[in-house]
Amino acid sequence: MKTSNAVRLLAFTALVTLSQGCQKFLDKEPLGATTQSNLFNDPVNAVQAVNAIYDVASWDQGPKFGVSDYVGQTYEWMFGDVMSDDAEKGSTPSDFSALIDLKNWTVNPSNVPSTTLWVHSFTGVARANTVINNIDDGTIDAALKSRLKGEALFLRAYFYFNLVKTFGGMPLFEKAVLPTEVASVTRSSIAETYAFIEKDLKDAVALLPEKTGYASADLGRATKGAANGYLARAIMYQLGTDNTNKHTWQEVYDLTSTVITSGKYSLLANYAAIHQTIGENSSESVFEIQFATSNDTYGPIMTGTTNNVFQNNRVATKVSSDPASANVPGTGWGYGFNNPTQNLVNEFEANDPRLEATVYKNNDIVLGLRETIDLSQNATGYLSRKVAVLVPAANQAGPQNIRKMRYADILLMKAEAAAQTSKNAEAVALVNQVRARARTSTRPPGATTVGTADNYAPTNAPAGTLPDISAGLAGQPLLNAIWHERRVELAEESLRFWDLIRTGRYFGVLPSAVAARAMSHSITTGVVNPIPLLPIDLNDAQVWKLPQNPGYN
Amino acid sequence: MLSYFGRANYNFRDRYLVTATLRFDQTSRFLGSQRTGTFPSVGVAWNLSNEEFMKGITAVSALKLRGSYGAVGNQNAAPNYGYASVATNNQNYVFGPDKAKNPGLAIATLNNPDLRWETAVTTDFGIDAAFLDNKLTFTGDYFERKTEHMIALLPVPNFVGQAPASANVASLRNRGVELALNYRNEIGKLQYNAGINFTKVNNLITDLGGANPIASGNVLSQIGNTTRTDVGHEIAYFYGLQADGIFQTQADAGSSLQPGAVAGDVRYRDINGDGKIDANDNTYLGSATPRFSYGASLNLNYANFDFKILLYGVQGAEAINAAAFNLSKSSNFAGLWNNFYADRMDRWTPTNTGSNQPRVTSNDTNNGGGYNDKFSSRYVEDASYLRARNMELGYSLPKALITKYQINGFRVFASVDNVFTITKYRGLDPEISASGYYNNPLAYGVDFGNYPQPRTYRLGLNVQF
Repeated sequence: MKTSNAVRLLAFTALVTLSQGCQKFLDKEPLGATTQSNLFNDPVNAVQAVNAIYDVASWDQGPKFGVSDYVGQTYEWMFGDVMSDDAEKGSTPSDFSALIDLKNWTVNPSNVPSTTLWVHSFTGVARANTVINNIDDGTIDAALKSRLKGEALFLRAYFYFNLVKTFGGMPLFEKAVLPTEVASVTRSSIAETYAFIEKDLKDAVALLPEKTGYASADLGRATKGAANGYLARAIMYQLGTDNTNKHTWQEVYDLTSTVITSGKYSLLANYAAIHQTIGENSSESVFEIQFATSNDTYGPIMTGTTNNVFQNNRVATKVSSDPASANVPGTGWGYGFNNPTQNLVNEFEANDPRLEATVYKNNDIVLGLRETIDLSQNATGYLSRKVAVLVPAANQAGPQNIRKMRYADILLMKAEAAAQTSKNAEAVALVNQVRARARTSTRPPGATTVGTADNYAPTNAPAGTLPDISAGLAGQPLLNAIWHERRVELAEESLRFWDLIRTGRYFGVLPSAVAARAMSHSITTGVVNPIPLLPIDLNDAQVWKLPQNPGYN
Repeated sequence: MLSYFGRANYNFRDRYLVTATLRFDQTSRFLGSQRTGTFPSVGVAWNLSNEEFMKGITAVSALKLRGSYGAVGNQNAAPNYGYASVATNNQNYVFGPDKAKNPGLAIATLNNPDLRWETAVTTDFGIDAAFLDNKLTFTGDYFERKTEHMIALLPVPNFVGQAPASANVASLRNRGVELALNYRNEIGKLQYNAGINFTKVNNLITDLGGANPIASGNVLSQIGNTTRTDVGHEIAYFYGLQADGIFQTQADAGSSLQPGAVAGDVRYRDINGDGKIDANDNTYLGSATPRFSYGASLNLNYANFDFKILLYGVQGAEAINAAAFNLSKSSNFAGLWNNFYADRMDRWTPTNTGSNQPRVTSNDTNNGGGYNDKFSSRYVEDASYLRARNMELGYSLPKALITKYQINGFRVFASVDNVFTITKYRGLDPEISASGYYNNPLAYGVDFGNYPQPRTYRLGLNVQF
């Protein structure tokens, strides 16, 4: 009996000990996975956490948050060009009618490009916050830490800037928003949103290296110059829309001067090469989204873009019975969206070499291929040559970087700031700098001979082409000259829509019925010029009661 | 997963039976204090037919009263590492002149360290009875199952920028009856066994922890949320605008509450009576929870032939034909899908009035734009059905013939699964899994084009040695 009790006690003790041991085996750190708690203790992981923010900036469709349901395509040109007088939707008349809704301002809160822009931008903000909120506690090298934090701050500002200029004042998240807090989230004003963006960009300016501070393999990361450039752009947009923050043109002048005097940038000698491979991350590049073709054509894994397939030529001569012909160069592998308008073409001065580098028309030779434009699948007879590429390894994986900010834009921003602060001669000189480069441009590559893709033929433009603008220009005529120069120099680069809005010219270029609808969705009080806004995400407005923009339900 | 359990049985002369079990379950899917679940259960039964006073009643061959109470834990709906903010890889981006692919890591999904056991507590009272020498049997149950801390994806706004985490979102109660009646007998060489059963369950959300009603069921691009889960209703009921036909004339459209509407556009009901049509007019449109379900079976044996058929039906259930949303578009007809339901041939046109199908237009200005293609009662369909799940015909060779070959049994059979379905539902299959889209119970009954059940034909041979 005594023994038996002892045995029982022993067994009981063993059980208790065993169960404690087993408790530990249930404490699992996810195997082979990185978690937020150890992300910033390792330089490789920390860099990858920042890469994942850039990745969002390169997304043009789903999956939502990078892991979830499909969301449809969005590109900046759908707003920046198609919603302006520079481009029509293009393609066949019925394809992607969400773009017709944008163009006509018959848009509703489930509009695909708007919804995806919303979802992606906040995904980018969340990923930036993962870095900004946690990197200070990491054990990685301090210099790397501050650079990475600078990149994350720049990108958070980049995403918020895309949001504010499209949707107006935003909910502002300095920290990752917790599910328990979402019910109390509300929208800040446009001015508060811009102030948030400016603070991030200023912090980024302090933390980021210049372009030359990066190793070659890191080319394409955010730089001090890019942060200053975006700060100038954000202030310039406020000056013409909602200037509650009381900015001055002098600030734009100073910021662009800082970029110029940094000496890190110059105009690429040949305008026709800017959008070619040779122009990628060139001396003129301030910020661009990076792409490379590959066989991955969907999801965060992909490194290519559908931007090219969307805007390249769509031709009826494609033989439908032969699936291979869809991939034959020159037979319309693209979808044919975003067609430059005659109105834009007319804006170019006689013999301006930039026209041919910007658009092509029926029977033109593009990269050595004769392009046939079928007017049943094209709205204007033109396509953008700036996005013309040869068929990539996979149609959906275009290799071409998207230029988001060029040095020419910095010069023209400074010209406008100079004109607005009565430094007229300086403004004229800056515009003439841009025109001088344009004047000496060649024809675009592969424009002369079928089969030759990469020759840059001379334009043989007559003497007197693109003359300097007159030194005596001042006031509105000077501004008009600058705005004209912006339109042709930066055509089809997704800037026109916001340039029109901030200069008070947007409603004037729209058909009256469209203008009236756009005005019904605009903020008109307390602003410099009316600010037309697209509807915020249907789900977040209806379910989560985020206030919707004017005129939408 | 680590479990301990104990069980005790007590049986008094086959009249009074008691079974009690106690489980301790621990799982690595939950953290620390949430890890252990304690799940007791107890069952009692009284076998009346073994009592002395029942001995004389020969018509009743068996009679048993049962009662039970039990709790079980469920962790299956929880993700493996739902408590930790795990980084998702392959968030690639390109840098450098060589366009090198640089890998990226993102915390793409929210985490929830407070996740804990979902518990189902079931109380059941039942009766088992058999009559006429066990030829007629009856089983009846009344039960109540309370699911506490149900695990589901807790929807978050898109502005959170991360995919939702699993959470203990709701408590709900299922209360119902199950009845089954079976009769077997023989007429000459024909043996038969026929059974019917009936189930009615009343489903009710009892608690959301004070949170807002949960909107979910956003299973297709452009459809938006389609379900709502709120205290006092069944889980994931369908929630949207109540459509009210088509404007047949321009006068109707012009005098409606929907600015911009023209003849051929969809008319909606102003549920809250505020004079405009918007999300505040969303209302109850049905749910996938059936009013009742039923089944029947028949087994026949005649000489060496055997035959059986199994029927199952659901009555009073609705489904959202979400695929139809895209196959019935009014305006975005060349977006992602190019096919339509044949009904669209009969759409409203100035010369085809009286139709209940909205017009086709590239400029939908209904109610300020886009209201023809809004989720509404138009996409909620009756998903009641009666389905023959299985039918089988068999033939066994006579024993005398096969025993000399050392064979004990030799049977050939032909069997069909999913023989036929009677339903008014227009989607592919009215039998939509209750676990819903991506295992999300809040998308219950939202048919995004589920893979339908196949009809399977089998020829078989059973040989026993």
